[in-house]
Amino acid sequence: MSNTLSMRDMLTGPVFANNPVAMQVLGVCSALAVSNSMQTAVVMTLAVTFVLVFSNLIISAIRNFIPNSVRIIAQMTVIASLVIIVDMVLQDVAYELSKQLSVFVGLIITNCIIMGRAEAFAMKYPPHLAVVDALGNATGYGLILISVAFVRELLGTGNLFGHPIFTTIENGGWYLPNEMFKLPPSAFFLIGVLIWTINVIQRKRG
Amino acid sequence: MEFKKDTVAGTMVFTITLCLLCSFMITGTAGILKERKVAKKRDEVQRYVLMAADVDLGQGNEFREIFAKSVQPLLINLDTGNVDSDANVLDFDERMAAINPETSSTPKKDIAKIKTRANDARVFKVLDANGKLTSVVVPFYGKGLWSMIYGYVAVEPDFNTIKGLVVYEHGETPGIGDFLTDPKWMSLWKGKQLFDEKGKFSIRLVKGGAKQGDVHGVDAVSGATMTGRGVQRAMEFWFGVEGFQTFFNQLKATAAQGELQGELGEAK
Amino acid sequence: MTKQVKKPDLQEATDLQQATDLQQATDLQQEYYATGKSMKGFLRSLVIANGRSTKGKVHVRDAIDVKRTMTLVGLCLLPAILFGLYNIGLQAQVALASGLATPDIWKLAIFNSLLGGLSQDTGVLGLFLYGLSFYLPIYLTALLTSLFWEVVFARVRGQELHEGFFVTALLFTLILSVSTPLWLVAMGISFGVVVAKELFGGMGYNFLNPALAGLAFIYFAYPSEVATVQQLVAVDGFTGATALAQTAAGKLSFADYSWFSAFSDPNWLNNFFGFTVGAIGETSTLAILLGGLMLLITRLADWRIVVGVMLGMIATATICNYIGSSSNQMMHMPWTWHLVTGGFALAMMFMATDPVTTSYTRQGKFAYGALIGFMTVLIRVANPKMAEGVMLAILFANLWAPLFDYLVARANIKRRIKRHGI
Repeated sequence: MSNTLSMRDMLTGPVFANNPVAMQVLGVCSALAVSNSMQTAVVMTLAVTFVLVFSNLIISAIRNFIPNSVRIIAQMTVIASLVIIVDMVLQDVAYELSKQLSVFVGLIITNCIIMGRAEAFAMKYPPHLAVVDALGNATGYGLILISVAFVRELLGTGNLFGHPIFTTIENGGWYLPNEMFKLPPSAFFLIGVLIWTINVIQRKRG
Repeated sequence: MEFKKDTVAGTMVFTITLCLLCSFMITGTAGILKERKVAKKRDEVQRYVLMAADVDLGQGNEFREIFAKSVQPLLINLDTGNVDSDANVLDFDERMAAINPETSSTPKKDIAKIKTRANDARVFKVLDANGKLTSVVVPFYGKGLWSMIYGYVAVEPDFNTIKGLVVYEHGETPGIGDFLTDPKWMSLWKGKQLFDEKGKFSIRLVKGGAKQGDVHGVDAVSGATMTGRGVQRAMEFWFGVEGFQTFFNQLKATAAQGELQGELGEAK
Repeated sequence: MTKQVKKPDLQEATDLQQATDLQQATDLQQEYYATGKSMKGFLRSLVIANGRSTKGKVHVRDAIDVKRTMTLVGLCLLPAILFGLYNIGLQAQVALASGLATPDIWKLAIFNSLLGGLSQDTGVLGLFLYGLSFYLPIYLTALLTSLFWEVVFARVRGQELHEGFFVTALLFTLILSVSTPLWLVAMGISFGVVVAKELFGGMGYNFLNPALAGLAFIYFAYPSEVATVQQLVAVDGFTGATALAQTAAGKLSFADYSWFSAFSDPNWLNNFFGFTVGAIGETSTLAILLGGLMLLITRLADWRIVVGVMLGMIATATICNYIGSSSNQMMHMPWTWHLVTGGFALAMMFMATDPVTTSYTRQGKFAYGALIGFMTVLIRVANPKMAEGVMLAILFANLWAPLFDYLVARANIKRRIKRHGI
């Protein structure tokens, strides 16, 4: 299958048909935790994209030097270093936001998507392909995260990016916020519905 | 020489190189960001102190000038009440000092559940345009339900009336403990009295709302019992003997002396 | 089948008869289950019952199908519903006495034109009608919403419609307060039917009780709405707190109150008969127990579960009474009071015994019931935010039900191995 993969497939495949969150059910924990507002979701997506792209790039570049016995540890080392850098940069650029994301930036280390792509893809393919694969997977992750966050923030607070879209009753409008969408379990339902939708469309396509 | 990766030597060489490279990467970034981080922290302290003292922050970065003009930061020894230094107070890391056994001690009555208390603490004297003391801002912290609650509280020169309070960090139950950082709740503290006539600490967080005119009661949120209790106990601790009381007593004494001298001077 | 030597003719005739019987039954069934005819089959089965019952040496002796089960459950609920409707009117009348007016809303249009408004002289029938004019919109909303979802899913899946939604809608409306806005009713039942039932395969595959899941949804989604609505009577601006809410707020004291003194306490009797504020069908423990008894006699509800719930509740309540507390009045509430307050009785009889979401083994049923009783009291006592614990207790036990079955099966296997020495 390796040689028949086109760049386009690699980029678009993980976005929809082989979405890491919805289809492989990887990286769900962070998707539940940080998807309560668009802002955190976007920042989290950017952080994951950065880590994923660079971890894939670095690991793919040194893949021929990595001894088999320590390969997982080597991958972890690279990923962990990148995550620490992201965490530091985030604390510098957007301190308030990094507080909201709290441990979840640090927990990117354990995000299965990143480990999964490093082990399953970057260890076998040259760097330029690994970067394309990383971009595709990060987009897939971001798509789910942001669409879940879109629904949760809109229904949970009536806002998007903190700007009111539906005026809530509290502020003299008509919308009564649905408190459940502020709680992490609602992301379970939403991801479930997304998986369902993707499955139905996939089946229709054949 | 060819690199044989799956030998013991190869593995060693690889891991060491990788670790070195990664640590360079991290320390490099940290080095670049360090200066900015320190500056940020300094800004943060300045802003919170001004907020607690109810001083207008001004536009954008004006708060730095306002702080420099009207606030006199001091580092004091909590046990003796003496001023240790007045330089580099903003960069003093109280959390590090509190866990370092050389600069901290275990409080005798640890009602705020802080385990160890730093020997030194920062206080901020806030002066008005004429150089007259308008309030003293001190940091406080204590354990709520899950986490430490950190904040600043400003007291008026009578060392009894609260001028303002800011909570800037906590990890209490989201949605329930969030009232801590709500400006409305923080503004409730203004004008409350710490001690009753007999000098007993009497700030209470009252569930269901404090009664009108209750100078010691602040509204608590039902469902956040432990959070409220945490704030109350932290205040009790930091305004107690092991907190800033010694320092305040000294300030009061010097103020009384100063007044006396002033009167004497006038009499002459 | 071995041929019998005696009476060969008769045997053959019976065989033939059975074969044709079977053929007819299969035909009927196929027609009934045929895709594309789901709506027709469903509507017909509403009017014409499948009157056939097999005779002879067969396992299935009675054609008790989903429809008959659900009709029976509905019948058993009838006392609670009828009393509930009367009680809505009664509570409104009581509130009227304190000088409040009946609300001017469309729901009351027919009632007002027939009886000219609610007054202190309105009789039993009038009060019942008053309740009906509030209950009917709620029930119709719930019924139509769930019917809509059932039809959507039946269409997509090409399956026939199941009658389960009648009871789901009925139970859901009975645990609501009379002033619940209709949109909230629609949202709750939608969540219950779609997420708790249909997404997991529909009728018979749900692992959560749909009615309770719907209630839990509106509880968590609109906590402030539900909390205000809960204590409302069908009269403008009147709030009456339930005994549970009063106790939680410390207004009702149970110190030095033993469980049997409840029987001579008029307040307890009021709660037992149901002349109190509360959800539509939850107030009268007596009516519920009557219906529940019918359910137990017809064996639609398993007595093991009911016994488990009762024992679990009594044990936990007694332990709580024993421990006691100076600040939490709920700790002192005796089990007799736990029984008559909130939705405990209704949930124990009609929701805990839902045949799909319980454990299937006998021992498992005891454990499942006991867990519900235990959790109900625990949530009521320990969680000041949730005066009512039985909803979450049952949902929680639903999740545990398969585990109990697993443990019982494992224990059986172990015992058998021991017995046979393998």
